[in-house]
Amino acid sequence: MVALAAAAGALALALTLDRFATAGNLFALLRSISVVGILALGMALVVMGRNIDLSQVAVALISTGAVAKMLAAGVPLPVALLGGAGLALAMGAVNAGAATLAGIPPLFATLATAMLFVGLARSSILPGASIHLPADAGWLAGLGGSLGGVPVPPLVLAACAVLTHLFLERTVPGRFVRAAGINPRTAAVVGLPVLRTAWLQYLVSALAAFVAGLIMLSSSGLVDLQLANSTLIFDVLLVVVLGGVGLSGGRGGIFGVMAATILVGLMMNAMTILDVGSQMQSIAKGLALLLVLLADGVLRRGEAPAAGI
Amino acid sequence: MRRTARALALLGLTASALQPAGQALAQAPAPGDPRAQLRPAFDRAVKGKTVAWVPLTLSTTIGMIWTKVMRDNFERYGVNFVVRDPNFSPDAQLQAVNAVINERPDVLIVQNANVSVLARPLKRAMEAGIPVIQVNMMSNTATDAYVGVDNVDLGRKVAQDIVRQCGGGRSSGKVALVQGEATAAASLEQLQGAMEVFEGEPSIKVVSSQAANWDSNRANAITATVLQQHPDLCATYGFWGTMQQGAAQAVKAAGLQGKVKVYATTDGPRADCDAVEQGLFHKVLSYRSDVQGGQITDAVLTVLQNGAKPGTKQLVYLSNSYWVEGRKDRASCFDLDPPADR
Repeated sequence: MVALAAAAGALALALTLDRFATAGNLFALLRSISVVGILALGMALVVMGRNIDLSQVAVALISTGAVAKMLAAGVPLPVALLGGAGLALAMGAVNAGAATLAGIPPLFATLATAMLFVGLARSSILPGASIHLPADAGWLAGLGGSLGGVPVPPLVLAACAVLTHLFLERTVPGRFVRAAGINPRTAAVVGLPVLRTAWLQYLVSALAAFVAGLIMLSSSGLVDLQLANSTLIFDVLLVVVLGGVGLSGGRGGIFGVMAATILVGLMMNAMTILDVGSQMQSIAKGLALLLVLLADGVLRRGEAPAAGI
Repeated sequence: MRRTARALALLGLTASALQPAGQALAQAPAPGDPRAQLRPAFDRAVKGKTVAWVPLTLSTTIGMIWTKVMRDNFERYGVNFVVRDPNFSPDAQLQAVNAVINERPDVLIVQNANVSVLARPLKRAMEAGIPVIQVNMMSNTATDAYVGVDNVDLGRKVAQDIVRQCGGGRSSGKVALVQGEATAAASLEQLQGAMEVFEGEPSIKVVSSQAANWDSNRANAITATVLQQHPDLCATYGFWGTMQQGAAQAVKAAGLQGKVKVYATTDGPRADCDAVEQGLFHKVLSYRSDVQGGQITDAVLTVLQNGAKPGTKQLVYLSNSYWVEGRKDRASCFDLDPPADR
C-alpha cells in the first residue's frame, strides 16, 4: 500500500513539478533519506521484536563523535572506526540489558539510556557540542560524496537494506525476531532464545546507528550532539510505522520500510522544491502518520494492543 | 606690604617643597587620596560577591563561550560564579531560576528561552533586591541590564552584502535562506531584516526559505535539493554558522564551491573561521560571543558598584558584529579548547 502511494506520488510530482524528474534531483532525494533509512532498518528490527530503541540517535552521534575526536587526535582511521563501532555496541548492550534484564518497558528504558549516554559522553570524552571531521579523514570523507556521479549514502542504504532483509528472512536468528515479536511468551515456552534475540536486536540497532552516524558526519562535516534532543528519532519511527511494521510487533518487512522511507523523502523533497513553510511540513507529516495509524487500527481491529511500549 | 612679601616667599618655599612630595604621591598614594581608594572600593563592591548564571544550555558553542569568558573574568576578580544548566528545557530553567533566587545571589544573569517564561521570576528577583541581567533576548520584564545582539540588523547587514554580490544583474540574483527553528526569535528577526532588504531589491529572488531547525544535516539536505532546482544559485544565507556548515558541504558536493556564495551569521567558534579559510564559507558575520562574555562581565561590575535599587534603571549593552572574510580575521574567532599545537 505504501509502495503504491510512493509510486503514485512520484508520478504525480514528475508530471507537475519542474525539474523533479531529473537524475540530479533523484540523487539529492535519495541522499537526503539515507540517514533516516539506515536508522529505520535497525529500528524496524527492534520494533518487529516488540521492542523500541529511542536512544538510536544518541548512539549515532556519540559513537561517530568519538570517531571524529580520535581522528583529530591522530588515531589511524581503521582503529578509530573499530573504537566507534565498539562504543556503539557497548551502548546497544546497555540498552538490551536495561530493556530485558531489568524488565523496564523498552520505551522508558531507552529514553533513560539516551539521556544517560549523552550526559556521560558530554562530561567525559565529548565536552564540545559539535565535533568536526578533520580535513584529512581519508575515505571516510568520501562516504558523503559521490562515486562516478552516484551519491554514496544511498548505496550504503541499499546495501544495509539487502543485508537486513536477508538476515530477517534467510537466517534462523532473524526468523526468531519476528516469532518473538508475535508472541514472546509462546516463543519462550516453545524454547526460542527470546532473551538472546532481544540482545541481537539492540546490537544491530546500535550498529545501524553507527553507520548512519558516519554518513551524517561525512555529509555535513560535523557531529552536533544537540541533535540528540531533536525530533529525528520520531522521523525514524514515522518511517517504520508507515512502512507497516506494527508497534505490536511481529509484522512488517524491509520492503515496506524502504517504500515508506522513499515516500517520506518524496514528501520532503517536494515541499522543499515548492518552498512550503515548516508549519505546513509538520502538518503534512503529522497527518500522514495519523492516517496510516488509523488505517492500521481499522484493518487490524480485534488484535492484541502493543505490549511493552 | 612686608607681610605680603613674606607670604609670597613662604608660598614659593612650600611650592618647591611640595614638588618632590607630589612625585612621591604618584608612587605610593597617601591615605585619603582618591586614587588610593580605587582598588579597595572596587574589591569591597565586587570581591566575594556571588553571581548566578542560568543560560538556556551549556551545550552550544555560544553557551560555552559566554560561560568560559565570564568564569575567567570572575575568577580574577574574586567573584563566586554559580552556573545552572537547564539543558534547553524551559521548565527546568524556570525551576533553576526560582531555586537560584531563593539562594539570594548578588546578581542574577539569565538567557531567556522566550519572552514570557521568566517574566515573573525576574520581577520577583528584583523585588527581593537582586539585580538581574538578561542576555541575547529580553523578556517581557525589563531588568537592570540587557546584553544582546540586534538580530534584525544582522539579517539586514548580510542581505545588503548579498545584494552587492548578487544584485543588479551581476548574477542570477537567486538567493536561498536557511532558517533556524521557524519560531525562534533569533531566526525570525534575522529573516525580517533580510527580507526587508531583499524585498526592496527587484534583482534579487529568494527561491527558497526553509527552516532547518539549527540542524546541519537538514541544512545539507535542503541545500542539495535547492541546488538541483537552481544550479545558478548565487548565494545561500544560513542563520547560524554550525548549521550552515551542512549547506556548505552540499555546495561543495555539488561542485559549486566558490560559485555559490555561502553566508552565515555566527557566534564566533573557531570552526566557522576555519570554514571561511577553507573556502567553504564565502564570509560570516560574527557577533562574537567572547566579546559578549566581556560585556556581560562589565554589566555585572556596573550593577555591583552603582548600588541602584534593582529595577530602577535599564542599561543596554548592544553587541557589535564583525565580518570574517579570511585568515586576516582569525582573531575574531574563539578557541573553546585551545589545541596544544596551534
